[in-house]
Amino acid sequence: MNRPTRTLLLLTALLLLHTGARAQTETPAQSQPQSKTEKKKDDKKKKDEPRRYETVQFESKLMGVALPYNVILPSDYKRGAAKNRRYPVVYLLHGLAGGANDWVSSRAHLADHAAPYPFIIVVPEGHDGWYTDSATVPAEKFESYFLEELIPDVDSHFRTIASREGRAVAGLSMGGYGSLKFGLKHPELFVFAGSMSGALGAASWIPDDKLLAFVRPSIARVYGPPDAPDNETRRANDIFRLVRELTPEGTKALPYFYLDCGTEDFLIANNRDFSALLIEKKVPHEFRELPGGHTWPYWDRQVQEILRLAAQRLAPAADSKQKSKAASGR
Amino acid sequence: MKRLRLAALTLVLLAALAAYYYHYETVVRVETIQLTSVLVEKTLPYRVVLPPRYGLITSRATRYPVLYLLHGWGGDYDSWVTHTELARYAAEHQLIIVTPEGGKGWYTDGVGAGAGKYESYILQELIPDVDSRFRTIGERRGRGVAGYSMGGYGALKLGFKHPEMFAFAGSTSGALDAASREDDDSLMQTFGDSASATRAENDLPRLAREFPDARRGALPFLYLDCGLRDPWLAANRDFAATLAARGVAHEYRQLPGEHVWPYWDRQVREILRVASEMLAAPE
Repeated sequence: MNRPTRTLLLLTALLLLHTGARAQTETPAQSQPQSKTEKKKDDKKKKDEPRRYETVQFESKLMGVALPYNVILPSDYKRGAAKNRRYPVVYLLHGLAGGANDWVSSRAHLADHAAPYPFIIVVPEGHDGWYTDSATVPAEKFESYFLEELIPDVDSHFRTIASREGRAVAGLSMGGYGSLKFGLKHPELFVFAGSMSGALGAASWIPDDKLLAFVRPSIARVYGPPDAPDNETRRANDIFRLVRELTPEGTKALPYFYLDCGTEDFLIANNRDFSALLIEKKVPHEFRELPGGHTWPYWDRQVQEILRLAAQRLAPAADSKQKSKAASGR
Repeated sequence: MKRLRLAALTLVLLAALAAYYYHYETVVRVETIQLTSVLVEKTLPYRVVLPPRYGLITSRATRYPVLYLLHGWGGDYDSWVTHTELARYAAEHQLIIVTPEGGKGWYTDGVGAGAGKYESYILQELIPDVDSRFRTIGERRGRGVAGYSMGGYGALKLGFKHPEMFAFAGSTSGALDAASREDDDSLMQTFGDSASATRAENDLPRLAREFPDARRGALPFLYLDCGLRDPWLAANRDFAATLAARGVAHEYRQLPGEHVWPYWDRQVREILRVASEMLAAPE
């Protein structure tokens, strides 16, 4: 073999080795985003990494209690180049017997799921309050708190797109109910409202022996005792009733509704009924039922769908020419 | 001078190799096969969308899962490729996609003269042909079937009648009640009159209602979606309710949309995502 041929053969061999290595590492990675070993590595990494969310120590004047909320910021939020950039916000509501820390705990991989999106994600504290102003305890105003205190606080401290086009709300179980209710009662505030495993019938549940024991006390506290099956609080917060009473103009003004439920979830019939009512009233929406129970593995999977769908509806992050009020904020 | 020539030659070779690699890394190849069917007594073409990297020397030992995508009434083997950007969507997945010709045969062995045995064609002629020509995972775990409208009906029906063949069956805007309808010549040609055995054997809601409990776990994963303004919305909701009542693993979605290509163009991407999750990875 002469020298040029040898050189060329060597080069070819090197190139092929290189492409071979790439093909081998990429093929399984693309078809199976997370193999078990990779996941383990991720978990280990997470422990060493700094926290990927911030906590805002918010004091509610309306309720007279501390209601800290968590915020996940988009990856470029703090880079100089983005200092005038405003971002859409996704409010993510927790379920009954949960709290503001659920969505940022290790049960959900929210920060990972959120990484591809330019969203500010806010996880509020809602106790067991059904995101509703209580019929029995005047100080517990979880709906008013959300609308009158939390949203303005978020909009004043972070570079948000502080309008309907830049605001979405979603949640699981009690939070799914809360999200759809906020969308129905305050359509001017949200462009997207999503529910996972939503406890959609909550406002018509009567807290007697027939209701699940762990749900009963909070239902009684928020909507009133069993002998008040049709009080003002129930009427104003029953989302089935709100949909039934929609006018054609009201329907047009609504945010886009998304709801899903696991076929093994005790709330599946509730969700099917609500989707049937939405069809009857011609309300644009997406409903999905798929294998799953009322569990975190289900919500950890479905929150990715929520983010994907919200991204199709929310205004994109944009640089504002005006100097941002919150540029030096949190 | 000799040095210069050598350098130039090397550069040319490098460029050629880079082009070769780039081509197979990113480009999805679409092929057309003409398959002569004994069962339908016609040459039935099918298209094959090959995944990126399929042709790379280093992928030559890799076998891929296959998704059969069936067309609807009035469509043909070319519909999926021409009415959607299937090749572009396929680039994000590691699937071989096959789009067969189904005529107006409802993917059923028709009773009428010249109706053709379209169900047997897929099982006995098409699948073996695909498995012999391409590097497929030639087993259930690596095989899925899906379709729109008539093809949605066909896909779910194949899933119920031949669960040992498919690990995934998907439908978008499926005409799921086909075997109980008589409002088109093709339905009469295929299924015969209302009391025919063919109707009973291919009645999808009935297959779902009567599928033996003990074999429930042997069914493919079922996916179905339907637009809110699609005439088949009720048929799809009813079918999903039957699956739920029978405890059959499935995903059902209803969302804004009609019985039109823009809807299927959007939903085929969802079908590819779900199918990729449910089918075996390339090996």
